[in-house]
Amino acid sequence: MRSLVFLAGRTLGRNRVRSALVLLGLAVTGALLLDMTMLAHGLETSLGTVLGRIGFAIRVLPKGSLPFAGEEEIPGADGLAAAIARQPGVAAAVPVAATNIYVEHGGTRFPSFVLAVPHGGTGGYALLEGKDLPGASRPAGGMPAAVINPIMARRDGVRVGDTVVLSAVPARGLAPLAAPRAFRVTGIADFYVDLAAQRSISIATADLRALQGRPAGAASMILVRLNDPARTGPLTRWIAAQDPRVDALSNADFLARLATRLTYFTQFSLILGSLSVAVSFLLITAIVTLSVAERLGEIAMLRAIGFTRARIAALVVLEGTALGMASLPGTFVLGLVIARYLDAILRQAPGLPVDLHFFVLTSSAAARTIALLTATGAVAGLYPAALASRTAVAATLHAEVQS
Amino acid sequence: MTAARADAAAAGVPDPAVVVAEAVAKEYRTAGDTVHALRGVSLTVETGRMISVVGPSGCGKSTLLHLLGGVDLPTSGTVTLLGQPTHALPDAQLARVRLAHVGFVFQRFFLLPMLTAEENVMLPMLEAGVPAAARRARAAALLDRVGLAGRAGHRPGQLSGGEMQRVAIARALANRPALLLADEPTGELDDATGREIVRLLRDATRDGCAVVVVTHNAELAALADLQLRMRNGAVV
Repeated sequence: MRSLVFLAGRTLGRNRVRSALVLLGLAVTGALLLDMTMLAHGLETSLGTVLGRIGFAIRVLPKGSLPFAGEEEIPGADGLAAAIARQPGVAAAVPVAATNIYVEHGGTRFPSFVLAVPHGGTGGYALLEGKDLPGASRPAGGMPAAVINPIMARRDGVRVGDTVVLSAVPARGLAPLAAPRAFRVTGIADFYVDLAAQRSISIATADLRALQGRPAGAASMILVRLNDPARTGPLTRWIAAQDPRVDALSNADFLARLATRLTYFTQFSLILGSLSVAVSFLLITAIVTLSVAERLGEIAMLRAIGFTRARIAALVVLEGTALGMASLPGTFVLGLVIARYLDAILRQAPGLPVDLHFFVLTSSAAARTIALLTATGAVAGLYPAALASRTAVAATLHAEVQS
Repeated sequence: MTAARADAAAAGVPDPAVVVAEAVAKEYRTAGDTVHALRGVSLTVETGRMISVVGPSGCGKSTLLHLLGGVDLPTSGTVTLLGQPTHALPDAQLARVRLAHVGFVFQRFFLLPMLTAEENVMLPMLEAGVPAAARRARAAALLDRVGLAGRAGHRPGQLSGGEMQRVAIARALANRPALLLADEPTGELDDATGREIVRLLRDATRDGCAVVVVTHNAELAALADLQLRMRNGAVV
């Protein structure tokens, strides 16, 4: 095998300009393949990272929905959350409500996403500055608290200690039951699922219900934190049995549900990835076949001095494999540059969480690309290998002398 | 096997024959025609002997060489290489016999251009699994023997025709073959260089190697222990 690896490597360096051009071509098609493997599961992977960072192992949602995807709510969520919190291994069960709200500050009024939590310390965001909402035993009286995201702070000049006026309706007087209320901004926080350029604010659930003029008890979602995040199965089954109107999704279930809604990305990347593999295959087959045709005399010589047919075939397959592997550095450099550019374009689409990426390089995407390009090289070498191994030794040697 | 050689073998006398051709014929079928390249050639090549094969172009010299070396099989008759009939050996086993026991020198040299002279010489040893240190030592000794010790690191493109043929002879001798087959080894060389190549082939017989040289060169042919003249596929 060592002699074949040695010969295959030297053959690649034989015609440097041609090899460089072929490797450049393979790097382009390989880059497309890498980008497609990154795109196929990029959103899921990226969201998985975000979910892992948030730290909740189970999400309880209205049946068939995705978090914050609509206005559906879980009726009686407070009671269900309390029941979940009493289950063994549960560290916290936090019912959260999410909707859009209007914020008035400094004489201007703007829309904002609002995340309502029962109290501070629930972990729905990471505090960057100031203080969180009050704890479960919040003091009676005084102005209610709010935590805002950095976009609102930067865009609208809202600072810790400022007063903002929140309203459930776009204009004053539209809903007499939903009177505006003043809130004191106590902190600025990084909201885990912020959309790009989205203003976010967090307040207590009771305050949101008061603003909406609606009774307490319902929630958009219940976030469940476990002592052992890996043991989600028993609890999700228990929750499903408790309330058939909800889905209890582990992070993996949640990503699987998301994946069913992102099949077009998978199909798109499968088609383009297959095309890039096909082009790589044809490129390698063409160049190795050409190379074999040019070296028939040498191949006949190798057979004459004792290389078996199988060894000649293996040598040519190795040449194809070596081409596929040699294109990998270029593939990764070019692929990552293109992926970064395309990701930036796609992330400009409205309604996307800030931390979500379309193209994510994972070890499995990298391994898949390496394996596919290497295998493509090997398979592409099969046809020229068959030609080379079938070379008629005596006739070829004779023809070479005659020519 | 002839009766005399069978008797010798039965008496325990080592068989000096490296390759034996008996009534060998070779035909090529072309479109609607059959070319008789060899017609019933018989020949015994013994250890330490040099045989030259001369004759006009197309008389079957190279075909005979290919059959003796086991790179081609006869249409009829038998070629027995180191006691084994070539037609009875599977292709892979025949290749192994060639690797271990047969050296080839070609008119066109057929050195691999991407390898240095030393690497070209080491190639058959690498394929035969000779350890690296032994490979290097043997290649150095062979290149020294053909007068190219100082050119080991040069690639074929940096060598003259005579130097390339000397590298090819060193490569052919790499695995200490019992049989060295040279097809027009001086065909592309000037007379002085040709004589040098002949001397190297002659030297190989002193190591016990049997040498068969196909040539148009009368001077080279005359240096052989036996001259075979061929015409129309037959020895005359």
